Amino acid sequence: MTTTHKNSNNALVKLVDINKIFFTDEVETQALNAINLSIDKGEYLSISGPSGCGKSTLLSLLGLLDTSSNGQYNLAGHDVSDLSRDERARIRNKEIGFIFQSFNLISDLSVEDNVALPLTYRSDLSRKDVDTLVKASLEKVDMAHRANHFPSQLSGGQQQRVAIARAIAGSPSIILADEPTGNLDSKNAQIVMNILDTLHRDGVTICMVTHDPSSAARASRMIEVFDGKIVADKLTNNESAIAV
Amino acid sequence: MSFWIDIKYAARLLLKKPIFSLTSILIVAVGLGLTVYTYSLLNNLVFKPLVLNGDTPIYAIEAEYDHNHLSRRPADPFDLNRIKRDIDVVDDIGFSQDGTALFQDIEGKSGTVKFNASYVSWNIFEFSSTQPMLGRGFNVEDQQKGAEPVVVLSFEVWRDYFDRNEQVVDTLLTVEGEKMRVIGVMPQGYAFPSVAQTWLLLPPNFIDPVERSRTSVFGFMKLKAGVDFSTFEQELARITPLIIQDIPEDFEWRVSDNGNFLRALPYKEAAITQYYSIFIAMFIVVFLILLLACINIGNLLLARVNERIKEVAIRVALGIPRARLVWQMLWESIFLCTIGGFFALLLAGWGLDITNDIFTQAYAVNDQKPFWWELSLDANAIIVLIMTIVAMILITGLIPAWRALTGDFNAILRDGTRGALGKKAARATKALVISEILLSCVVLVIATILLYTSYSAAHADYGVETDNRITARLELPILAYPMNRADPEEQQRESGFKRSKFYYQLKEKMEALPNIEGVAFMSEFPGTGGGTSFFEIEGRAAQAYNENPFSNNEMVSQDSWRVVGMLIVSGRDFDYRDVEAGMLSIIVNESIANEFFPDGDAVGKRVRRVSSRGEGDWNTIIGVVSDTFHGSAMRSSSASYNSYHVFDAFAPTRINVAVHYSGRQALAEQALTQTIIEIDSSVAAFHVQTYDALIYQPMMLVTAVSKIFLLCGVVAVFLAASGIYAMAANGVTQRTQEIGVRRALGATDSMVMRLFMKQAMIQLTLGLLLGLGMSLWVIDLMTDTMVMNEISYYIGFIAVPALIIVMVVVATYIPTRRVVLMEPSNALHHD
Repeated sequence: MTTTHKNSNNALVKLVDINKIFFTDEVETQALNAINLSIDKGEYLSISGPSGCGKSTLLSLLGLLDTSSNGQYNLAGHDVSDLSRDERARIRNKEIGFIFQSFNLISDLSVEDNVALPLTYRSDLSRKDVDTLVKASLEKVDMAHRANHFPSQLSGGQQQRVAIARAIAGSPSIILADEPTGNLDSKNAQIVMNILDTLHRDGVTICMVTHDPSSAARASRMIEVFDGKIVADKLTNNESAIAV
Repeated sequence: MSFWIDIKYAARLLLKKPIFSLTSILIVAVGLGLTVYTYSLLNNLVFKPLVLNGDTPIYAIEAEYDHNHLSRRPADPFDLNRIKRDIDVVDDIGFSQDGTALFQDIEGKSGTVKFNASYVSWNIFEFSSTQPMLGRGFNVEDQQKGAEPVVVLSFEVWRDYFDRNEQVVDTLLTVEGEKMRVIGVMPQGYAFPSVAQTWLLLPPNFIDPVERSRTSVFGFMKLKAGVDFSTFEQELARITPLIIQDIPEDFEWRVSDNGNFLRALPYKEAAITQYYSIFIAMFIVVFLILLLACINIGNLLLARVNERIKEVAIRVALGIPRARLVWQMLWESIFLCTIGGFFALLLAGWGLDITNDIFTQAYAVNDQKPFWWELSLDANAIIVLIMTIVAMILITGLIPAWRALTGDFNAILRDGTRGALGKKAARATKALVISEILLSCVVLVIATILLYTSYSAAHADYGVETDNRITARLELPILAYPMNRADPEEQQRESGFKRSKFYYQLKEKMEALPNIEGVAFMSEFPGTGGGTSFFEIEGRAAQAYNENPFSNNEMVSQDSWRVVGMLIVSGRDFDYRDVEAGMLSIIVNESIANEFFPDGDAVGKRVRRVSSRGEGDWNTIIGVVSDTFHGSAMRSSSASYNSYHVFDAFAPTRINVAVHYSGRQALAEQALTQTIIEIDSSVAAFHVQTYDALIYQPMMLVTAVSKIFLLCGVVAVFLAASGIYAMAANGVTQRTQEIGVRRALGATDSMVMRLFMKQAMIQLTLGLLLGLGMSLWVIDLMTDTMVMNEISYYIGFIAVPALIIVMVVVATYIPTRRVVLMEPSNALHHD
């Protein structure tokens, strides 16, 4: 593995010897093999690799959407390896924001309600707090004027912007983006990437899976995954992507 | 060629999932089978006009229906003739009275045999375009005054009692105590107007009376060719007020309490008036089951399309024409519905055979089954089946076809769907779930209420003892025991005593036998009869006659109570004092005594009958007997208030007899028959059966219908459970990705479960409210003629919704829990 990245003692995310094995119809597939990874606060990390290399699996593990077969995972100083389902859900809700390739907005809910959705799962926010955070979030992605529309009334780029607003509304510790521009044309892809750049400049930690080299180059650090292993881990020369 | 490929592909898909296919075929078969069965039943019994050998439908024309006694009422032939004369569109009217005819010494065998007899106008056979197969029918000369009495036999009587002897024509038989010449034998199966086994002529003054009288007949009518029935109805409505105007005061009783006078309706419908609302309720329930079946199949096919949506998307990408795509979706429906339809035909045929057996059994004792009550699958039923199959194909096939046409195939082809369920699809699923709940609720509530009601009625306590009791109907021949209401009162009393003398002789002789405990006579025994009229208590008259209480009234012999297990609670039984001229005594039951004379002083008080026609004579209460219930517990004409008169001075020519025996029933029956012959061989005893059978026989038809509702209920539970589960599971499956998204955003398992359960409860509440509302409406239709058991309402309106709630909760919980237990990443990537 090629690495030029320094391991930090103040890592927001720390994966130690993570393995993930899938069992399907008696066939064993090792999706991830002895992954060791640290992500510092404020870093902008891209993960790339060929199809089926395990990058989406890695992102799922990072997002506590899946559990590793073994290994240790620390997030914001807490060992989250063996948490219960409800505890994982609470951490996802508070610490992690997701941006998916296919947007994954809920079609029955308006833009406003989609963005508010993760906030409604918290018991510490009043209705007024939620409304304030939603409004702020939508303004950041320039979608406040479409708050009462439904996803089916929006273009792909607009939907992804709403998804970003949803991801950042609760000020999570880290944003996990899985091919955020995969379903977008170049113009909208550019808009979305610019938003991510802005978020990063504002101190948000971003971890992005992408096929697109130009999107990957926007990150401050690039990881390559191949056959379930990290084969390269290097800083980019992207001056705009400066770790905070 | 392409159709053939699609057909083979559809067949292959169905064969790949045999359980799904068999379940679907079963659902279709049951739904369609019930539909065809019910259609055939109702078509034969009610809707298909009675046409006989002509091409013009036959209508009944008679007096307004008696809703108090749930019985048809004959009309004055004077009025019917005016209808024929004054309404131009009437082609012909004939008259009939159904009764019995006592034949003595048939073929040299001693004893009297009773046959159903129709006393008719001479034109009956021309009217029905059917001539005797032997001899001749009636002609106008036969009905003239002084003509030789003649009789026509049915094929069945000729076959069973005269050994198909062709020489019977032109012989003389003793019928009703007088010699009559047999002039003809009708073809097999002919029993017009309804249940006739023999035909005799009405007296001439019945056919063409010159003035009004108390004579009453039922009319059968044909309209001129091409005339619509509604035209006749308008004419009848026009002429009725004119007729009513001309009715003198003495005959105002002909006009019903609600001001109606005559009614005309399709002939078959007239015969089942009291059951009409039940049949309509049955039709509604079966239609709902068919809808349930359609929704179930549609949903199952929809779920399959969702499973194959990517394949469909690929076909669209390859350029499949829309029409071809729709046809591909339809082929599976076509297969399922056609195969199911075939089995439906078998099921319906089997059901009709069973129903024919039930009818035969129900009327085995009294031979009162109308001749058109022979059920079979005819061409119309096949047409209905084909049309229903086509409708079912369209409904069940178009649901998945709509899904196939409206999918966002770009998104599907790229990478899964755009997040969760589309709004339209979500709305459609919700509507289907609510419909499923609504339909299930209606069918189950009605089935439960009817079943429990008929079960309760069958096991009700009628206040009598029925063990070791047989009953029979006795008929005294009119010539030997004349009864003429036109005679002076003294003469009427004399002939009444003659009749009661026979009855008391029979009682005395039978009670002398060692195996006979007692003999009683009643106009109707408890558990049968029914029908009420208003009565006034002396000193407590209501302002209007119909604000007084009402009771059932029967005629009884002396010393009847012990025979049927009733008790004299206070006062005394009828005796010689009560048959003196001018003595009008009455016995009431405990309910009347307790309700209206709570101080226990009923004996000695006076009551009288009141109606729109005036007041009857005052009767003195001489005794109180234990409570009984006349009529079935299910009929609205039944009564728990009962009063009794002794029949001695006015004994009827027809009466019911109950015999309490010990030992073998057959010996008791034999004793009855023998004793009658010994006293007077011209008297007939028929409808001999146990007391239990007497009570339950009138309920057999409704009990049979209730069993059909039971079947409907079982089918509905199966369809409801499978349908609601499939619907809910399908709905959850379609929202798997949404569940993944919610969980990714931090929703805990319980939050997701609560969300889905809450949404399910909203659909459930809506479906139940609509379903219960509709159930009430359908039940209300039936309560014209049926009394629903009170407890059945609790069971129906509480237990059934509870069952549906459990079904919906389970159907939502299980699939939701299954998805919630998935890893969020798997749910997110679910197609």
